[in-house]
Amino acid sequence: MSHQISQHQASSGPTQLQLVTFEVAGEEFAVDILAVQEINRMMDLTRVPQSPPEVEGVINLRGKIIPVLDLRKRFGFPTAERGEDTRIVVVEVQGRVLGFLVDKVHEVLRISSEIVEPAPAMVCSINADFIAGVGKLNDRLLILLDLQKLFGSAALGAAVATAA
Amino acid sequence: MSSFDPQIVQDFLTESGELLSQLESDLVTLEQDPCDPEMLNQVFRALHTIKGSASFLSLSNLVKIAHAAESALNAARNRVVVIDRDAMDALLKAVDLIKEQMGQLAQDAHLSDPDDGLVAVLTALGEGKQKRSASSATEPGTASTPAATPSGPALADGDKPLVLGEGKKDLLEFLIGDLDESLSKAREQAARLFDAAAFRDAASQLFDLADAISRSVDFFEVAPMTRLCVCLRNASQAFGEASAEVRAQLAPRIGAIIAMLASKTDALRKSVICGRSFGQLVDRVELLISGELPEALLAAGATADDALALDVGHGAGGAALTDEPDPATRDLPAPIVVPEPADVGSSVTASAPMSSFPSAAPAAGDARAEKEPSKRTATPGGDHTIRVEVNRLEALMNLVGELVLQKNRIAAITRQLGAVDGATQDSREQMLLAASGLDRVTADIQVAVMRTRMQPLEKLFSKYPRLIRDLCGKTGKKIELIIEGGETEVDKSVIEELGDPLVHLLRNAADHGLELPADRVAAGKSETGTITLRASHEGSHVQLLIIDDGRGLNRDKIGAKAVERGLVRAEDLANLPDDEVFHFIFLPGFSTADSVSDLSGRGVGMDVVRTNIEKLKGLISLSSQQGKGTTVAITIPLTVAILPAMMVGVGEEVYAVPLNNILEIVKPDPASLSSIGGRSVMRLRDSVLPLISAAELFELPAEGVQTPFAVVLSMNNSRVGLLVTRLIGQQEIVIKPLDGVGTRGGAAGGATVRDDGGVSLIIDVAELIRMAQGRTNA
Repeated sequence: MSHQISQHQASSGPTQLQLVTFEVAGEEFAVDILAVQEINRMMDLTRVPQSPPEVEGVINLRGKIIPVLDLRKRFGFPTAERGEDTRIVVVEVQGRVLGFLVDKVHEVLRISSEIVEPAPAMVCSINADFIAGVGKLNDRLLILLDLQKLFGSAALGAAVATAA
Repeated sequence: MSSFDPQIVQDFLTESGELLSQLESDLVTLEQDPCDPEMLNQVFRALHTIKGSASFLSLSNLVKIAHAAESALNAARNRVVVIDRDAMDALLKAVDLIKEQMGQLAQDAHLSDPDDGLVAVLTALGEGKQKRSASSATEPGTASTPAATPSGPALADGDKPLVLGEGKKDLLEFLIGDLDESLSKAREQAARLFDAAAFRDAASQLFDLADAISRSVDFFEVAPMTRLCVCLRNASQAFGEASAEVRAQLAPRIGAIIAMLASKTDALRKSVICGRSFGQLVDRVELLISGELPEALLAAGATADDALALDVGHGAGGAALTDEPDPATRDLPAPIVVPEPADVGSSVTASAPMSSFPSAAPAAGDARAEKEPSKRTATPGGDHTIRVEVNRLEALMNLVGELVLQKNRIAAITRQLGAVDGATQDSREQMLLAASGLDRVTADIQVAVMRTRMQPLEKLFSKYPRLIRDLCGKTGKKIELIIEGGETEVDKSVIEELGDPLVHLLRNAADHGLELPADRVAAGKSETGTITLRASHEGSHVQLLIIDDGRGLNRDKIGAKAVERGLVRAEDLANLPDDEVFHFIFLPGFSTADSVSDLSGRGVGMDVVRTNIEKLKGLISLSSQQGKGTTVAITIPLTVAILPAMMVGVGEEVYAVPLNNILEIVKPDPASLSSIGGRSVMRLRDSVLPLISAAELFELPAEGVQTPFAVVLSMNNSRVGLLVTRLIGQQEIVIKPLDGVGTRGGAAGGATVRDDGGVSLIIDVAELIRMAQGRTNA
């Protein structure tokens, strides 16, 4: 889904992007709403032995067992206590359903693709590969995530390999 | 191949694959009683269907071999040849070749050429028929009547649209033309049936034409037409030998059949299946062929029109549909006037006016419908089954699992509600009633859905007679395979996993277990060895027994080999109970065979057996008596999707342990705990039990976790104790795969959802024991 964002950017005319925005470690991120299946309150995670470090555990999503990843660990941010506002964002990436933890979910936004720019190399501490672009919205900076690169099979495979 | 829709090819492969495996086991059954007409026909029909579909797909290599086999079978059906061992070998080889070709088709590869030698052998068998078919080969009735019993779906009562696959539509016109041509030739021959000089030749020509017509009709897959063809074929075959009275009855009826076929062909041209009923016509023809001449039947009249009027009913003849014959004709003496050939010829060739037929159909249909149901229930297949993709069943199964969980939660909430003061007594009771109703319905749904995935073990077992037969040939042994309980149903996934182990076990029994005939006689046993394969339900499990009456396992030989491989010390060997010694044969690479044959001896088979049975959470045990035989007992759960489990708590976490593997649960006395080489063990009665800490296993923080209980787990004679904090209770759990989590093995064999909605990991006992053994060895 997230590659749609880049496609929109590539096309000449401005298009509307519909995004879900959320907060992780004080920064504001966004993903294409079409990729998001649902957003759940925090629930008990079951830890799985021998799994990659960013896999926090598994949950029961209406009968399907799905892994939940911690975005802080994925981004290399310091871990923090989970609070009232912690949510599990459930997305589908390359046919796989998985959830990731965010500190807080903000809102659903509609922005024009015109205001999205490619990420400057040194914009923040996270790997620039994960970033599909940066949106300027008044005084806010939105980091658009590329879910394929973040959670795609290649990315997770690499994570498993490094964990081994 | 590419010219055909892959879907059509796929359908062909699925359908013919099923037919072939049935065919194979039928052939072996046939060998026991080579003259069983019902079995001969069944085999013939299966082969014919495969040939028909293959020729539609222009698989000429496959058709050639199928055709040769078919003609050999046809000769057998006509009692010209008897299926002896050589003939059966050739037929089985043909089946193998067809299988091979279908494999090639599946991979879109070029089909291998039919083996010319084999084709020649089969054709030679088939030749028998051509030499004698026109003479006195057939006993009327015995060989031909069974073929005429209805095998397809019951007749349609009204017209219905003809449904054809996309690929067939283009060929429709061509085939109808073909059919028309054959039918008009058939009409000419039918006219000659009345000619006392020419009827034999005409009948034999008709027989050949009936074959041609069947081929075209098979294409349309219209069961009633197929039935008519079979009837025509049998009638023309029997005609030459029939008595004059029977001939007089049969000839007009043959004309009537051809007219029926023509009217149905006309309907096909309009892409409609003619629903006109003809059951009585066919029944009467069959009676005639079988040589019976019931008084009531001698009323056919002289022409095809008369026969149609009488047996099918149209216009004024409709009254004759009842079993009571027309009073006017009943009094006629048995020999019927043979009409002038010219007269008959004109009336038959002119055929009946087709346009008037459909109006008579409903009445005929109704009369027929009264008689049909009993036959309908007796015929297998047809509309009673439906192919469903496994994915869909799996999705359904998942949803039911989820439904069960939601039901559990509602039940839990209802119980809590009882404690809340706000709710009135009445509403609480209502709620409890509703919850228990929901409970009942979900349980029923669960069972029903599970049953859709169940298949009879027969599906597997039907392959084994062939296997044993081939083994007899290779080993020179005489073996009788007795199969019992093939109707026992188990989950589809269980069937898939069971296939390999059973083949290995049967091979072992035949190759190692049973002795050569001479040795058996010397040992005072009958020449023929017996292998019994028995399946039965044992509660929620299925027990499979493979029993042979051979020489039994040689304890000394196995023991010596085990000592040689360093599995046990020579001095300990004498103290080991028999079954522990026998269990060595399940170890990979363990073989006592002196030489490696192409049947066995590499020491792989029993390892496969053990691994697959473990995968199914089943148990395997061996018992054997020297000189008397060996029994292998396998116990497997009916389904692998739902598992009875013990829920245990470790620290804050809850895990599920398969109940089958739990021997006992003990609270170890601190005095019985000790450690050997840094690994903790406990003394349990007279043995030493290795212990494994669940907290350590699942990378839980070990500090402060009390583990007062040891769950003693066993699998195939190995034991390990798992230390846990709490025992929660027994529960039926639904196994969910841990896909996409990125685990690298470990002791979690899957996950399940608890009734509070949380997720618990399922402990993989085989893996756990492997880990414990790895540690002690290291």
